[in-house]
Amino acid sequence: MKHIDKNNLEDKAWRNKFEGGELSTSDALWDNISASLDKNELGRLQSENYRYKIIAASLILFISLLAAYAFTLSLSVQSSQQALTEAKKEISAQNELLVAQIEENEELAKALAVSKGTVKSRESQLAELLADNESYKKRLPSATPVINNLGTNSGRLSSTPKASIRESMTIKRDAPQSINTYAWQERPASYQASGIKRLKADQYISGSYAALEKTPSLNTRLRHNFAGVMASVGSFDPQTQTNLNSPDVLPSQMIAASQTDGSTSSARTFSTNVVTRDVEESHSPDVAFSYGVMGGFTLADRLILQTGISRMNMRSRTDMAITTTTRINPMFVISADNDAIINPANVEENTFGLINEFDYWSVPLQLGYVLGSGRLQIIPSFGVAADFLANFNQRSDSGINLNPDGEHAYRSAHLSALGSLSFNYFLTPMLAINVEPAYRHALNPVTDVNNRHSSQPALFNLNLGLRFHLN
Amino acid sequence: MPNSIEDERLIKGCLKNDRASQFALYKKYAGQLMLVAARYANHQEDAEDILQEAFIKAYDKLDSYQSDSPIFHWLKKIVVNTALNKIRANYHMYPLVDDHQDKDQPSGMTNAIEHFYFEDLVKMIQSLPEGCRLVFNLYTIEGYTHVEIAKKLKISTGTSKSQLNRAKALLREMIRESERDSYEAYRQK
Repeated sequence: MKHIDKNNLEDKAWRNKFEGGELSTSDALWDNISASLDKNELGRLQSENYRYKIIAASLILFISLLAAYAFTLSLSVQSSQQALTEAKKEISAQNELLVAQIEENEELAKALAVSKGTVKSRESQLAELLADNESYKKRLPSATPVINNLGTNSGRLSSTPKASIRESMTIKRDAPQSINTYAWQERPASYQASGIKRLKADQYISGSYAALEKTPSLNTRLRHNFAGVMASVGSFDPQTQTNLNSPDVLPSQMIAASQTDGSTSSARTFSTNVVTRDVEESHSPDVAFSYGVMGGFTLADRLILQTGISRMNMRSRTDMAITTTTRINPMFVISADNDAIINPANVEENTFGLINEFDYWSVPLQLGYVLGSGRLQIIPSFGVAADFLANFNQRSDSGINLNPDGEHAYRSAHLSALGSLSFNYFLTPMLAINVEPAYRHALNPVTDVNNRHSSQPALFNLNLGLRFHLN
Repeated sequence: MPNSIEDERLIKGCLKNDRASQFALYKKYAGQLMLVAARYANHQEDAEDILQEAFIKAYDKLDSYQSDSPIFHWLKKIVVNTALNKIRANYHMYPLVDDHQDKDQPSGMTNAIEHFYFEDLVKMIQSLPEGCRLVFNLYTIEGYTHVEIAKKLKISTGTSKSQLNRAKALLREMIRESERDSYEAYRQK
C-alpha cells in the first residue's frame, strides 16, 4: 500500500522531521473528550432505556391483545355454556312431557286391558270404563281415607280423572295374569310404532347432554387461563462487589500529605505528614416486598405463558468501617534527638451503616408447565423480567437521607432471569389460592460501569396470591 | 508488531469504558496524534477538533480494533480519516498545470528541511491550499500512492500528482523565503 520512495531524499527528510514528534494540546481538550464520552454514555443509556421502554410497551400491547382474545373466547364459552344450560332445560322439559305421555299411555293401556277382560267390544269397554270412572268419582270423597291407607301407591292418587283410573287399576290389581299379558299384546298400534319406552327416553336425553358437552372445545384450550393478584415477601441480596477497575477505588487511599520544615535546638528536621484512609465495606441482604397483578394464557395443552406487572420494594444494608491513619514520616533524621519528635501513628476508626432502598417496576414473562389436575396444580416456570428502577433512596441508620439530590449509580432498567414453582389449590372450580417460591437474578450489573461498586442482585421471595381461572 | 503490555492493559480498560484507562491512552498518544492532526488542519483549533472527534470515535469503535497492528497506527489512521472527512466537505480540488517536475529536486532542500523546527514546518504545511495540503500529507508523510489518494479523495491520479507538485513547490518557496528572512535578520544584527 505504502509507496515510500527511499531514493527521494526530500520526502525522506519530511518524514524524518515528523517521526516521533509531538505537539502540545490544550488542557481543555481532554475535558471536552471526557464530556463527550459522558454524553455518549448517557445517550447509550437513554437508548437502552428507550429500548426497554419499547420492549415493555410491546409486552403490554401483546398482553392486552392476548387478554382481549382470551376475553372474547371466554365470552363465547360463556354463551356456549348458557346455550348448553338452556338446551338441558328444554330436554328436561321434553323428558318430563315424554314421561307423562308414556305414563298416560301405560295407564290407558292397562285400563283397556282390564276392561277387555269384562266386555267384548271396545266401545262398550270404554263406556264401562267411563261409567266406572264416574262411579269412582262419586265414591271418591268417601273412599279417600281408604285410598290414603293403600300403602305404596297411595301417594300417586288424586281426585283428578286420571288418578281415579289409577285407583280403579289399584283396586282391581288382583285381576288374572292372563289379562295383563293380553293387555300388553293388545296395546295401541300407535304406541307400539313409536317404540318409546322410558328407558329409551333417558338414554336419548343423556346422549343429547353428552353431545352438547362435547361442542365447546374452547374449554380445553382455555382451561389454564387465569388472572390474579399477588403479594410477596423475600430476601434481597445486592451481591455488591468492589469494582477494582474504577478510578475511585484504591485499597488504601492517601487523602492528604503535607510537609513540615522546622528546627530544634540540636538539629534540623524535614518531615512529611501523610494521612491515609482505609475503607472496609460489607453488604448484606435485607427484606423485599412486592405486590402486583398476574395473568396466564394457555399456549398448548399444559403450557402457559405468564406475565403481569408488579411493584417491588427492596432493601439492602451496607456497613462501613473507615480507618484514618495519620503518620509523620521523617525524611531526614540528622540527630538521634529527633527521634523524640517521631510520633506514633494516630489511628482513628469510624463505623456506620447505610440502608439502600430500591423501588422497581417489574414486567415478567414466564413459560410454565402445568402438572397435576383436580384441586392441586404444580407449575414450574422460567423466564425473564424487565425491571425498571422507579426510586432509589439511601439513608443512614439514624434516618438521614444521604442522596437528597436523587443522584445515584444504578441503571434505570435491567433484565433479570426468573424461576419459580407455583402451587395452586382450587377453592372452587374458578378460584385458586397460589403459593409460589421464586428466585430472580439480574442478568447484568445494575450499576454504571465506572461506579466503584458493581451490583448484580438476587432476590428470593415467596409469592402468595389468588387466581381467578377464566375457563 | 504487537502492542506493549501497558498498551494492552490500557486497551482492556478502555473496552470496559474505564475513564482512567481512556485518559492514560489519550495522555500517551495525544501529542503525536496532535502533530498528525495539525498537518491536515488550518490551525490549532481545527487540529484539536479533529483530535477530539478522532478520540471519541476511537473509544467508541475500540472493540473493532485488531491487535495485529500497534494501537498508535490504528489511532493515526482514525485521525487521518477524521481529518479527511472534516476537510472533504469544504474543498474543491481541480487539476493544476503540472509545470514543475518532482524529479528535479533542488539541491540543499533536504538540509534546509532538517534545520527547521517541525513546528515551523507544520505552520508552512497549514498555510498550503487544502487540496495541496491533503495530497502532500497523504503522499509524502503517510506514504500513500497516487492511485490510493485518487481513490480516497475521489480525484484523478493526474490531479493528485499535480497537487503534490504544487504543494512541494510552494513549500520550497516558503522554506527559501524563511531562510532569506533569517539571513536578513542576522545581517541587520
